[in-house]
Amino acid sequence: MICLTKNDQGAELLTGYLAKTLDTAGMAEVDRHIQECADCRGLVSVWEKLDEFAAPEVTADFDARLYARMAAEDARQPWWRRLLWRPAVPLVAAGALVGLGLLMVPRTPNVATQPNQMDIEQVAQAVDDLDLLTPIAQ
Amino acid sequence: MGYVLPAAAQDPAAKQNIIRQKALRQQKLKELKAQQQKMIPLPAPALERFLQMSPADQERALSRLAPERRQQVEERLRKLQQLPPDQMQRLQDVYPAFQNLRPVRQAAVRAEIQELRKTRPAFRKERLNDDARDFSPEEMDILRRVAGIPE
Repeated sequence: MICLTKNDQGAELLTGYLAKTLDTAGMAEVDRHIQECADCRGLVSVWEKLDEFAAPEVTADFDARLYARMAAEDARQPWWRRLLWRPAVPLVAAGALVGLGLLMVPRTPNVATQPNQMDIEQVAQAVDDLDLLTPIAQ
Repeated sequence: MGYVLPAAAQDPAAKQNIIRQKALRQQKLKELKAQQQKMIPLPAPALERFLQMSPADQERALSRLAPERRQQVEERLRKLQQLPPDQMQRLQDVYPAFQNLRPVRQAAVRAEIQELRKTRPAFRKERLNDDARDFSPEEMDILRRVAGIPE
């Protein structure tokens, strides 16, 4: 199995493993890998430690006191800062959305026009898999 | 002005020889073309795209790999291109099925094939039957095809 730290699907597999949503074979596979791989064992133990962490109880009026404190902080700011800040929020949010959209637009490289941009790792992986799947000599 | 033919062209026997050699060359070319047409393409689209690139572009792409990795990929690719048509046909059937598996199952099938390769032929069937419970029917089909073990 490819190490979870090097596998593209590592995060997904780890989450599935910790949430116990992987199928039996998948769980067994990750289990086996964790026995052999110190890095992944460390990763899993950190996650398990986080699960063990018990958050301290908060007082009953915690929310009310928090909001009151936030309101007091807000009131302490000079008037011009409050004016500048409020209209900036939607603008910044819109800018962030546009930026995120640009980042998330799937880029499909045109292999015919940009052959040197082709993912050679993908080709190498295909060659490895084809080599592996070549019928075993009898 | 007179036009002088080469001596070989004037000699009927030499002329015959030239014609025969030309015919042989043409036949060889025809055979090569037919063989190329019969060649089954590799089933991986990324790889096929790579193979359609010009040698200069292939070189540029390969240069992005580490030297040892590049050598390994080139060697495996050469081996794949020399596979006989029947083995290539088997790859055509198995590779898409393998690609359909989830990454974690691909990893499991890879590991099993590597183990099967290490196992002596006489024991492969037994090993595969012992491990059958760890694999789905689709995965077992891939393993059987690669190991050449009918159900």
